[in-house]
Amino acid sequence: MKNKRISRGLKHISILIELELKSFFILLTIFTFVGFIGAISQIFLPELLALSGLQIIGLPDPSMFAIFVDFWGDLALMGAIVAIFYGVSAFSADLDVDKKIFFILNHPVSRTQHYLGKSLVKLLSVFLVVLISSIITYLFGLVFYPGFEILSLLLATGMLGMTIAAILSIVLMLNSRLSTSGTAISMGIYFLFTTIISFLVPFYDYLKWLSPFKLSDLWAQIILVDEYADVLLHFIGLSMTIIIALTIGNYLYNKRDL
Amino acid sequence: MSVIEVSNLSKSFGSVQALDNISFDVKEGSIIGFLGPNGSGKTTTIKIMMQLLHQDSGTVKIFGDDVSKNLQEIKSKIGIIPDADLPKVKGHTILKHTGRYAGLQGQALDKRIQETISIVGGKSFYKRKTQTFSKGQRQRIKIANALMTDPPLIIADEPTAGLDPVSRRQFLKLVENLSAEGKTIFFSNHVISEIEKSCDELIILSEGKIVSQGTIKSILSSIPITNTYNLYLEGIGEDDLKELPGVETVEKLKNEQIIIKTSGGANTPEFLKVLVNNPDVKITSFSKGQLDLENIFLKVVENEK
Repeated sequence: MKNKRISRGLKHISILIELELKSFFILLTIFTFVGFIGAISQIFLPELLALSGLQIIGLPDPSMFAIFVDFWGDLALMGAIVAIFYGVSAFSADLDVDKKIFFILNHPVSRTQHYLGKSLVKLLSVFLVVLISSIITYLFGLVFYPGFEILSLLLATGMLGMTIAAILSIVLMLNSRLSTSGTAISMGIYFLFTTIISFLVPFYDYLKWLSPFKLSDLWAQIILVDEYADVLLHFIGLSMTIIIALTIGNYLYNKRDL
Repeated sequence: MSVIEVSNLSKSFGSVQALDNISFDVKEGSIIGFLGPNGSGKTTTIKIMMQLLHQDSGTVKIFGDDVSKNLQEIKSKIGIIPDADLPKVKGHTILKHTGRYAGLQGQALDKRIQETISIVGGKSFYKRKTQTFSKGQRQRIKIANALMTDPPLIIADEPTAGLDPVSRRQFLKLVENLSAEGKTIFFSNHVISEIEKSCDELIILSEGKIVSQGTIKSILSSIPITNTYNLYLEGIGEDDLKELPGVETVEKLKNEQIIIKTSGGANTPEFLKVLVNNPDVKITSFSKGQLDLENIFLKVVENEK
């Protein structure tokens, strides 16, 4: 019986991956393109400004460190936004937009198998999208600045931060009604909340942990200056958060009416 | 043996009582019509059977197992035709996934897809994306999907919705064929006349309560029924017709057709005997209106109110 359940759970995940592939590739293309543009602008911005004759006061030093932080901060921010969107819409779209849930849950899979399977597939696709697009952009950047290093470490830690955003947004979504309008309202409230938090961060430093926008900058800084051991600690902490968030999300998903 | 046993099921949404302590059994191999006006609680009941909704109280057992405890095993024995749109993928993909959950793969999977598609007559379109399907084509794919695993029980929520008369008849024929194979069919509908010939039993729901349950014959005998007769005749006036035994109303149409409505169940109408024995009356055409299940339904629901 247990083997049968595991086998059904794995089959369910493989089917969810199949269903997810199209949006994964669309997202990958968008990400790679945006990352590409971001990298080009970071690399050539000083030259472009010089060519145009514009003088901007307070422009960061176009050193390798600054380019790297900006580049990674952009990617992390984009990843966080996509992760929130993915997380908020993951289950509501099933129910409200195309009612897929009535077909999916008529199959011999439990709600837990569906919730965990879908969460993992969504989070993995966010991770892979940013990982692959970052590598492509990074390789492009290498052509111009062959000084980029510790990329794998950056990617791994940055991505874990994004998965947190996704998980938090799933939990957020589960507390409201599952519907398209509910999703839009949830996202609106969440972005409003994080924007207000961003304004308050200069006064209350600890609030940076509540905003993915500030957090993405923070990750970029921390990762660049921290030692490997600290990064490992981040990895463990983030993983624990993911597990707790999934447990709460699963509990709520099993309780609710669909 | 009971395939479905619903006991004291209740469900409310806020202040709205969607289901109020309903109980019924579905016997193996039978075709059950689950009837009720929109909003009467049909879909809520079916969703609770699949645990998409959680009941406030009561139990649902399918094949003897409680759905709130052993749902996965139960679902592997049921084909569902939900009242929901199809996922936006190819029709073929939906069937393929359902087959894979049942452990089918490779040639066996392809063969089963071909079999179910030919049962519902969907060969010309099933490889297209579902967004391009007509309503009838969508229903056919849903039906094929429910049949993919060859389940002993089929639960359908408004399966004939959106089908044209020909497709509707084909579906009901299919239901009869499946029942002949020993399958149990439980399907909800709000168009009563459609299922008259196909169902062994009816369960009529209104405002979350079961208002009538049993064979069509037993339901007919339990409530005052109005029958309709269409006649072309000469030799008797409208006023005299109204005086005949059992006649409730007489209506003369512009084409001279006379519509007589009587009370008194499905017995041979007394008024007809009188007319036939009257030498002055010449009946040129006589037909009995279709058994007016719509009226039965409305009467049952109104009586309850």
